[in-house]
Amino acid sequence: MTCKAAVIVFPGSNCDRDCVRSFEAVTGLKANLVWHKETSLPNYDFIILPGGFSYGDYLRCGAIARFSPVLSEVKRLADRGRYILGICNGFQILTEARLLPGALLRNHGLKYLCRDVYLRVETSQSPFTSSYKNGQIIRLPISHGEGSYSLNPRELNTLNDQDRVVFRYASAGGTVGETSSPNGSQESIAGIINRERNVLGLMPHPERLAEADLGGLDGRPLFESVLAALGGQA
Amino acid sequence: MEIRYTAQILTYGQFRSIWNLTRPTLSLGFSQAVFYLLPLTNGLWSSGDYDQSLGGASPEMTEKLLYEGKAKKIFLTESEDELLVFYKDDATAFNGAKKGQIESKGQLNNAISSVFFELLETAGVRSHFLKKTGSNTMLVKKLEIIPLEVVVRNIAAGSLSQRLGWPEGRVLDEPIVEFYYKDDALGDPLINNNHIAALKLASPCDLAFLEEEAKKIDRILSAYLLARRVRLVDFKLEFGRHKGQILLGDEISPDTCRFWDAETNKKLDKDRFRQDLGEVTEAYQEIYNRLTCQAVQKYRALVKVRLKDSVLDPQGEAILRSLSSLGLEDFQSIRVGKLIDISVVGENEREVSHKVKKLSDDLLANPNMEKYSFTVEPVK
Repeated sequence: MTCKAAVIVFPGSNCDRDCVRSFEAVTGLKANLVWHKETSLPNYDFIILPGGFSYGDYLRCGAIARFSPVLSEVKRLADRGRYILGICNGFQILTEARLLPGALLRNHGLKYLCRDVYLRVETSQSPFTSSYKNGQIIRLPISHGEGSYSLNPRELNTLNDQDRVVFRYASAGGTVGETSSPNGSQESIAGIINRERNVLGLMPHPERLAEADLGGLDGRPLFESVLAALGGQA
Repeated sequence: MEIRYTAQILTYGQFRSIWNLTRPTLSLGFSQAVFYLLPLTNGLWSSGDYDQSLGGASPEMTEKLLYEGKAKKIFLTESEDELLVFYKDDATAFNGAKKGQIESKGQLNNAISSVFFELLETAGVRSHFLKKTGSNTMLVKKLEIIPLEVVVRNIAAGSLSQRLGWPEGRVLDEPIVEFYYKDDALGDPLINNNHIAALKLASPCDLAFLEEEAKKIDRILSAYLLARRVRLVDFKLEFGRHKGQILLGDEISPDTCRFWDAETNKKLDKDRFRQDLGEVTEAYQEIYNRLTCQAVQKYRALVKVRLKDSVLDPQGEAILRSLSSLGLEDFQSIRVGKLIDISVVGENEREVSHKVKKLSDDLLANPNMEKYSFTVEPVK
């Protein structure tokens, strides 16, 4: 199979190589690093916007990366149904680019949080989560200062009605409640998908727990899901 | 007037040349332009030959050519005191060592010079300029030219950089006025007041007048240009005598001035031709556009970006909580926002406000969570 993935590199990206490595290790497919000045991505079926501090997070996280030349191509591919995954800073860029609704605000505790959290997989009905079970509790690391998801109540209802909240922060026991969000996210939201279900953004880092040597495998099914959606076998 | 002539005589290239010449200055519609051209075609091109250098000239000019220079032709008129100047597209540099053509230069320089002469007239500088009579022509008073090039410099460039070893772009504390002896055979050498006295080119009194007049022109042009985001680097003037008075003569154009964009320092003058920088016509056109546009003014915009009231501000909360330990009371709420301080140029407050609003909507504030307000005020 000739499917390929592109991992976009912005000035300040720092999870780009982790994404390439995890994607290749899990899927056996090729992933290329693509500089943000690129204006055409014709041969890619899957695009990852990785974590990091694009443009130093100046103004707002992702606000300047949104004007990178590559973003118009990413938008075009999103419109054509290609799979787009934004992790952490990538999620922030996707909201700034209006490919996903809402915004990611300063953590309520004001601190940068770098630790493992538990998540509940809210839906397996997506090309990114088909290899998880509905309601499955997984463990992934977070690493962010601005991860508090915020959205107006009307649109929040729409998200819920359309089964578009993909991950919520949970306790180890799997309950989602007032205290389960480490950063103050509304309704403990950790990841959402667009209406067409081909653009996913999440704050936790699946690429950091996709190989046994790294102390966990809970990120692995996400890449396996993408592989299946692209028509391949793990 | 015989309409059949047009079909026989005008090739597409000729028509395009005439169209280009007449369109910007006369703002004629298509049919009017053709109509306007008919008398010209009868007079000029009835032989079927198209004289490139005379494009746009009026028929009577073909009769009494007085003098042809590198960039202009001078024609006699029916009045003894007046001459008709025709601006050519021909360009030369380095005292004629480099030759070429700059498309539309003739009409652009004619238009630019006319704007400058009119501006100077209203500011009290007397010149030979009477009126612009066509796309490439202006009517002027006949002068007895003083064979001096009077050069005023505000920023080091060209021969001043070479002579003093100063880098191009060095801003001079005071304008420098220089005199060059107009003599092609000698290569227009730099001379001083003693040379001028020895050559009997101008009396000490006249020379003082030339220097003062040149500085005055520099002040007027520099201010006018800077308000249109152009730096006047240096320029050359020529003067002549008319009925006992010394008047400004020649032309003021990108051929005789160095113009740099005030923000980028991009060259907008004949240096683009001298140094093969390309986009020569575009630069001349840009100067014309700037001259005829409204003056721009500098504004300061202050944009306040705040979280919407419905969005929790943990930073403000943290500050509020800390106040009790400072012994401060009565503070009900604190919310932290951003103040963005912007310097921007524009034609008026309304236009600048429009630009700042777009910037705020597109980049400075995220409408999902933030609101903004701003003020705009002119900077002295």
